[in-house]
Amino acid sequence: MALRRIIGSIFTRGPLAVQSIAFRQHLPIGDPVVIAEAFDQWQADEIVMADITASAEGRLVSKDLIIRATKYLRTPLTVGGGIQTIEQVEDLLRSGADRIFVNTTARKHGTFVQEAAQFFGSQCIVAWIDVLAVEGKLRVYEHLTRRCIDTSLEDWMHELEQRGIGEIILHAVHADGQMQGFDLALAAHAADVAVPVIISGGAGSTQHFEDVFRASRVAGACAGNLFAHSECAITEVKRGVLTTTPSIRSLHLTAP
Amino acid sequence: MKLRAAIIDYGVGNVGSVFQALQRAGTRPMITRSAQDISRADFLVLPGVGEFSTAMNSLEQAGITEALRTAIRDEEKPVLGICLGMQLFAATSEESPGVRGLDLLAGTVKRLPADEGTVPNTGWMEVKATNRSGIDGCYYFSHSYFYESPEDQVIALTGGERRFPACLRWKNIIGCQFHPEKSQASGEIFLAWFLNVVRSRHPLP
Repeated sequence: MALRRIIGSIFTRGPLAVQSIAFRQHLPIGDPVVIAEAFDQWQADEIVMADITASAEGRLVSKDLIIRATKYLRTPLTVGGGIQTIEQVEDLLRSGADRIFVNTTARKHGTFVQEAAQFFGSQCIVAWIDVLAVEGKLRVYEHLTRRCIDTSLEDWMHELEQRGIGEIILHAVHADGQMQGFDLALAAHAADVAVPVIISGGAGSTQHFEDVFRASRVAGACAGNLFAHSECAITEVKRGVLTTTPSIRSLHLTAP
Repeated sequence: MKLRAAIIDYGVGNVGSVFQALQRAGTRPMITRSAQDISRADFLVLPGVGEFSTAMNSLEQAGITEALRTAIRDEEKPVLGICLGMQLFAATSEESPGVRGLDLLAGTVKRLPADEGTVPNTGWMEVKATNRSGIDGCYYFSHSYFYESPEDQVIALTGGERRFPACLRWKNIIGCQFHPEKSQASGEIFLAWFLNVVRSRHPLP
């Protein structure tokens, strides 16, 4: 098994990094490139860059941003937002992305995941699923229509797996920006599929990472707000998590 | 004089990251699919993202499959294959039955067994050198297939329950299943080691 990942996520709107609060408010927080470079220095195991309004605005995550961000990055970068075609995937990989994720397109364009996995290999194609807790039930949420789809979360995860997806990011919309911890019930869905599953949304402390790693089989956990606002936040969290969770990557000696 | 690196472009690789890493390591990289560049370069790099048959088809279309075989096998030009790039050294892969690879190294490429962990295998793994290269460290992997190799070609293994070759070497041919360009400090140490191998085979003026 690969070691469990502590992932820094950066939500963007075009060229700007934004802080997302329950998907309703987006506060601009600065240049995503500066944040990505900090995450790299702090030894994030991966960086996820998500343009959260690209699909709604009918555009693609900024290629220029990826080029600028990857100039100095030595950390795996997964990128998504508005991807609709194989050519766009190729373009983003060429610009420096290591993997891409799709959300809307995986549902709207039934053969996209299969085609992309065939062309680039499954390991390169990731699915992002927004999940909303509705009356105690976890449902797949569509942010374009602000509605939950009829297909159940389990069915949707299985379908993606059958189509050849390489990884699934489960993002808890209801926990987004709350810093009250990951949704552990959602994280438990990592056991439903054979591909790696990443949990996102709600991280507010080192303890929250320890909790989710202990309680579930997730291959990694993402945080954005927690990491973007204080110096060496990722290094500090990793130092803490390492005391209880040996299954994460040790800090390299040159850690700040 | 900086070493000239030819990064072979087969359309689907993460050539951007590899380019940056080699530039930071002090070489002069170029991204290419021309036989002339291959013969002029001091060393070659086959980068890592994609699917076996797509990559081989792309090399065929560019008309450089034989140029690569000649440069690597006959001229013994140093080459680094990263992830899929290393798997292309094999004659065959379970990923694309019936498709011939570069056929430069013994062994074959197989799918990772599903009972030992997730497939794809994505994330960081501890790597232990089986010789004195000093490339031990933690590296980033992202793959569904692995290189099943005769032992005398293996110079590093992954640790833990999921054991497979992390790094191969046969004369001028070096391959790694992990992504040094995305492995932070460990990756930089690995590339420095590789460049030492290149320099020792081709002493610079």
